[in-house]
Order: sequence, then structure tokens, then C-alpha cells
Amino acid sequence: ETVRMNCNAIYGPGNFHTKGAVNFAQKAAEYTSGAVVIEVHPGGSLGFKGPELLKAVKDGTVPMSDILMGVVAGSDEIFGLSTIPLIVNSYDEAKAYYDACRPFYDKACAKWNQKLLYAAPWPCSGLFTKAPFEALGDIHGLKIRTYDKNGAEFLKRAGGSPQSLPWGEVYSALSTGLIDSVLTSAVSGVDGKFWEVLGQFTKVNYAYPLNMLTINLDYWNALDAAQQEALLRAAAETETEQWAASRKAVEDSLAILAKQGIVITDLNPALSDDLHRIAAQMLDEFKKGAKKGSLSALAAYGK
Amino acid sequence: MMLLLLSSKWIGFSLMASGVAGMLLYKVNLPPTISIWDKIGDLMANSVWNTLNSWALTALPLFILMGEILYRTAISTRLLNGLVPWLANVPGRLYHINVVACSLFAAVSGSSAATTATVGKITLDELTRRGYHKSLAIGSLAGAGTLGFLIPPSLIMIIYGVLADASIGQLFIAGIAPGIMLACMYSLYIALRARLEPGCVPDRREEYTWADRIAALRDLGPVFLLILLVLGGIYAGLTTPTEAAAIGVVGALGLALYFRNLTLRNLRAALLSAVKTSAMICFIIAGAAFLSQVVGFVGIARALSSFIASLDLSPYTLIFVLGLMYLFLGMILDGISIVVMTLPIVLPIVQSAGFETLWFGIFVVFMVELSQITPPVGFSIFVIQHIAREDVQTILKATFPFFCIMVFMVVLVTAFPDIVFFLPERMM
Amino acid sequence: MSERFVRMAEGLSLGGAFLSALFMGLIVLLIVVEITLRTVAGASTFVASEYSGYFLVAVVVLGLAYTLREEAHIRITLVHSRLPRRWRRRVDVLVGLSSMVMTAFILVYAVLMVYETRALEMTADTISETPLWIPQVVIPVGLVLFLFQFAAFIAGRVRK
Ligand code: NA
Ligand code: NA
Repeated sequence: ETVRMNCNAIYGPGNFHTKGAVNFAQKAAEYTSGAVVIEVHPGGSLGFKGPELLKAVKDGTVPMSDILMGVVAGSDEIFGLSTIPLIVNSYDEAKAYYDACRPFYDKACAKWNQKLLYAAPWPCSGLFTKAPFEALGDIHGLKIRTYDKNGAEFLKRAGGSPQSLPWGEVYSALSTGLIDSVLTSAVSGVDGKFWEVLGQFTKVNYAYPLNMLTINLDYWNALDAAQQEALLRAAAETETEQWAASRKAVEDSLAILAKQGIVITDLNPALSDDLHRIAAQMLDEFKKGAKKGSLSALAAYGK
Repeated sequence: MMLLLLSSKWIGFSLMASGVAGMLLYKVNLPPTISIWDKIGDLMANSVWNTLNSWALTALPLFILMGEILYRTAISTRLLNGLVPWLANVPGRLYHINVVACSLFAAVSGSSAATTATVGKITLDELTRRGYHKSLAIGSLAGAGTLGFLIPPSLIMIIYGVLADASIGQLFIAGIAPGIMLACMYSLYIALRARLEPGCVPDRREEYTWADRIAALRDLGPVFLLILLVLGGIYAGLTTPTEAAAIGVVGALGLALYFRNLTLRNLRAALLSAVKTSAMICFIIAGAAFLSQVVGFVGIARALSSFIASLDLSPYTLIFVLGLMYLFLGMILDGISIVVMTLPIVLPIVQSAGFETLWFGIFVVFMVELSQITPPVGFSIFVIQHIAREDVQTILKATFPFFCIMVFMVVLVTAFPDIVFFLPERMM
Repeated sequence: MSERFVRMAEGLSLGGAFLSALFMGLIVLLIVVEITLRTVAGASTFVASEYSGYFLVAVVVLGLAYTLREEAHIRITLVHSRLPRRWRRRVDVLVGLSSMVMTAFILVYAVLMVYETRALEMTADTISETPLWIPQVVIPVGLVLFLFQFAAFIAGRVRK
């Protein structure tokens, strides 16, 4: 008898997290010889927006979902760990950080009546601007669109004026001058065709925010042992492939941006020091108010 | 669902009940620990909270409130008085006011419902009072109101741009030419109707000189000022559409104050009326959101578009079949859900058939516009029903010619895609 | 007794409408403050888009009952308007009752949602970190008003 499950995916069909979920669904079908059929619904077409997803999966309102961890940090603080500014600076560090945190993520998910299948990072974020970004002073007064509260806090301390806007409004806001810069990944820059409105990309490697795929525990427990094992195998493989895909997406997108005329630069050492100082300050403050789970996870990574 | 809607049950509830029925009929795979009723209840509570807690949707009540304030103060009468000398010699005279006002208003509002509600609130009563036939007035309002999605800014284009990986800026520009053409065709139809059927235009035919027209500009001034305020904010980069709506409210209040129409009683009536309209529309939106969730779970839209993909049609037949499919979906779903649910499957098919993504975006916007005026679920119809207090059959009959014009326009855009490409190619 | 009940329900509906109007005013105020801050001082409230969403929820759910009282919720009266008056009343009572059941059903799950959101200490993923049960709590409140108004609607039809 076939088990059918709906899987919510927040982003559009072309997004690589959605492709990951589809890939996972194919593997799941293959390894269970078609006994488990997972239908992926991209673009939030099931009617969920993000922040409520931890609860939606917990209650089984949707059996499985792709969840941007940072967005559910309001439900459980620990899922905000991957959005701490500049805590890691490369994909290798990001992977080590994730491996250290994974047991704690598993525990938090269990508390929310779900099982973490796999997680993979968004392509690392940098800063899109009109003028070159060479010193901390360049950021002063810039109206920067950012996607979460850590980003807003970080940019504010760096002297900028962060704006929170829905992604859908970013393009028109850029073309009208409501905002003049965006903190996001090179991949999103390609999605948003930023070369039509912006000229510079600075590889800040600001964060590697994680997206996870979870399944409701009631649904999970209803599967037999062989099916569970098959799903875990599919998840492990998808995870490896998604990490590689994220890395590759950054390289590909940088190439496209360069071809379209965006000037791409690394952080210069002085600027990098300045930004890391701000980040260290924020990490200290976070730790003062943090719960035990987050602290142990950070300790496991040596922070 | 038809049965539920015909039972005279409130539309929001009919949609929800259809959703519940859909969930019960569909074999949802549930683990023994979760009951179907819990799942339905959670989905419902979630869709009420999630749909309404929206920054973009906030523009809707604000534009409605702005319309209510304009309507309750002398500004709306002034708009009509000001347009009379200008439209007096055009065949069809003030019938054009809906087309003109909707085109102007569409340039500040992102949604068709807000455009229809605001303009309708100002014009419908005035037109009937001046002896114009309600049916042509309603029809032109329903037709022109949907320009809200075609003339930028447009919520639908933003959603399409994000999903289809197309430039939103180009989509915005691409919508302008078809939008203006459509408005012109509406006006042309009105003029023709007026010629063929002189009885439908009231007799009073004063002569106006150019001096009168210049003097009338003073009456038009306040409204243009308001449009400038709202539009200018968006294009000068000072505000987002929702913020522009708030400025519009403040601007309308300021004008009312200036013309000494702003009594406490007026303000109270405007606010309560705006509450009524907003609650009515948003309740239906919440119901539609729940139904769309169910349709997503059950997979109706997907099944339909994969079926079409399996037919392997020639390009124009494909567009024709897709048009029929969208017309059908547009009857039961709201525009945003249609786009979100079908695009993932339809777009690749359309692209492989050789159509440009940008062109298909405009096609989809037209389809969404049509869905606004097709029964049983058509938001423009609901809005007009609310304002005009007429029953649905009357509204549908009045709207039908304009529906046909829009379909004709879709055919034109398909036959001559340059209507779409012409502006973007020059401007970007 | 039923007279008094109807009057009470309608009073409550009007109260809800006034609150709803108040929230609409607050949205305008909030956005105007945001725009002024941005244009004059280059600053931001950081909550304008978030809170106007919450206020919109309040505007709608608190206005539901009043909208019903004013008979402004739309229904398709194609068949309804052709029925003899006595039957029309019966149909009204029937759809009124079934809508009431539905409202009660949503109410139960809305209460559960608020309760759980509070118990799980869910907050918004924004700078304000607003506990989400606070903006959610207007939903059950509005639905209770809606229920009362439905009861009054039915009572009015039965009495006539
Ligand atoms: Na528009
Ligand atoms: Na429709």
C-alpha cells in the first residue's frame, strides 16, 4: 500500500532548496520501491508563509515542510544559530558548525514533534550596493534591505539604515530608490536581476543560513522500519548533494553577475576586522540572553 | 460548491464549506494519531491568521477608506463636475468616467479590488443620480476596475515575476500599453453604444466653452493633486504602494478639511463603511485562501495542468486550451492562487512551445483580470454587488460586453505580441 | 428576552466596529509616522509593516459581526430572492445555523491556536520579537461577536 505525503516548499520551483526537496522525494520513492510517495508543493502554494511552519508540522497540518531555520527562531531560539553574523566564514566552517549543532537541532525538532531529515545552507550572503564598499564609512546612511533581525541589528551597528521589505517589493523599491542596497546572496541577486539596478557585490560571507526539511513524528512513526531507513538514506544523500549544490550555486551566480557587469570584490582586511568586531560584540550579547540549548550548541563548536 | 453558493449562504462560508467537503472526500493519508477534523480546523485557523496578517493586503482597506472619505465629502462631486465639460461632447459622455478614473487609479493601486471599490464608491451613485443607466455604468466599472492589475503597480505581476524568474520592472512596463489599449477599447465601446442607443445617455445637453473647461480644471485640481501625491510618492521612491495608500487617506482627509466637508459624522460614517467593505472582502479572501489550500493538498490545479501537458498541442492551440483552463479555474479561485498553483507546471510547457516569459506574464495577468469578473467567485463582482446593491445576474449581464472586449484584447495580444514587447524594448 | 438579546448582540457588533475603525486609524498613523521618520530623519520604526499586518487582522475580525448586522456580507440570492417569503425565512434560519456551526468550529481552533502559540512562547521573527498570541487573540474575540450576531440574525428571522 502506498503512503502519500504532501511536502510544503516555501520557494519557487527553480529554487535550489525546492529542487533539493524534489530530489529527496524521488530518492524516497526509489528506495522504497514506490511505497512512499512525497508530493512537493513549491512556491508556498499550500498557503503557508514561514514563521508558522514549525507549529504546522508539529500539528501535522502539513506532514513535511522545507523550513528556513532563521524564520522560526521566534518559535525556538536555537534555530537562529545559523543566522548569527559572521560566525563562520567559509563553507567548510559552516559545515563544521552545522555538524556540531546537529544533535541540538535534532533535540529541538523532537520537542516540536518532528524529525529533522536534512539541512543545507543558503548560498552565503554578501552586500549588493551601487557604489564600492571599501570602508565602514561607505555603509553610513545606506538604505539596506535585509531579511532578518540579526541582519538589521548588524547593519544598524555598522552605521547603515536597514529596511525590512518583502522580497516581492525589493526590485521596484530598488528602481525607485526607496532602498539602495541589499544584503543577500549572489544567487538571490541573479534571481532579482540586480544588474538592472545595482553595480557592486561585496563578498562579505555574512552568514550561511540553513534550510531544513522536517517530517511530523506521527507521520514518521506510521512508517515501517524499512521505509524509515530508506528515507534516512535518501535524506543523507540529499544533504551531501545540497551542500555541494549551494557551493556551486554561489560560483555559478558570481559568474553570471560578473558577466552582467556587476563588480565583485572581497572584503579588504581592515573592513573585515571592523565587521568582525561588531559581530563578536553581538555574539557576546546574544550569549548573555541565550537559553541553555543554544549555549551548549555554541560551546560544542567552540564559541 | 455551486450548490452551496446558490443556497444563499454567505460566500466566505460557502468557500470554507467547499474546502471542508474537499478535505473529507479526498483520501488524505493520516497517521492514526491525527484526526481529519483537527487537520481541517488547524488549516482554517491558520488561513484566517496567515491571510490577514499581510503587509501587502493592508493597502486594500486603506484605499477603501480613502475612497469612502472622498465619497462622503464634496470631492467626488467635484471630480464629476470637473469632468462633465470635458466629456460633454464625447459620445457617451459621463459613462467614460469609470474608464478614465479607473485608469488613473490603477496607476496608484496594486489590486483590482481596491481600484473597483474606490472608483465605484465615487462614481456609481453620482451617475445614477444624473440619470445615466446603471447597467452600462456597472459594466464599465467592472471592466475598467480590473485594470488595477494590468497598469503598474500590480500585485499579480510581482508574484509572477518572482515565480517565473522574470524581470518585474519589465513586466510593469509591458503592462502599460495593453492597459491603455484596453481602456481605449472600453471607451470606444461606450461611444458606440451611446451612438446606437441614444436613449441611454441623459438629455441635459448644455454647451460648454473652453472657458468652462478651464474653470472645470479647478474642480479637477484636488483629485489630480491627490493622484500626484499618491503616484508621486511611489515613483519618486519615497513610498511603497501600501504606504502610498496611507498617504492617500491623509491627503483625502486634508482635502476634506480644506473644503470644510470634514464633519465628525462624515468621518465616523466613512470609517464604519470602510470597516464593512474591508471585512466583507477580507472574509471572502480568507475563505478563498482556505479553499486554495485544500485545492493545493488535493491537487486539482496540478492534475489539470499536467493533463494539458500530456496532450502535446500546437502553440496556439496550447494557449487556447490554457485560456480555457484559466477561465475555468478563475471561476472558482482567486487570482493569486491561480497563478501560484498553476505556474510551476504551465510555465515550462509554454516556454518550450516558444512563448516568451514576459509575454506569458501579461497573458496571465489578463486571465487573472477575467477571473475577477466571472461567477461564482469574482472579486470585482462581489465588490460591485456591495456598492451597487444589485443582484449578481444584473451585474453579470452588465459586465458581459466588457468581458468580451477583454477576451478580444487577449486574442489581439496573442496575435500581435508586439503590443507587449514594444515598450519594454524601448525603455530598458 | 430575545428582544433584549438581539439588542445586546447588535450593541456588541457596533462596539467591535468601533474598535475595528480604531485599528484602521492606527494603521494610517503608524505608516505616516514611518514615512515621516524615514524622510525627515532617515530612521525607521522597524515595526510598521509588521504591526500594520496585526492591525489588519483586528480590523477584519472585529468588523465581521457589524458587517453581518448591516447585511453587508455578500450572498448569492439568485434562488433565494425567488422563494416565497415564508420559505425565504426558513432558508435564512438554515444557512444562519450552519454558518453558526462553522463559526463555532473555527472559534474552537482559533482558541487552540492562540493557546498553543502562547504555551509554546512563539514570537515574531522580527526586531520587536512580539509574542504572537497577542495579535492573534483578537481572532477569537471577533468570532465570539460574530457568533452572537448570528444568533441575533436567526432570532430575528424566527420571531417575524
Ligand atoms: Na495597478
Ligand atoms: Na471568477
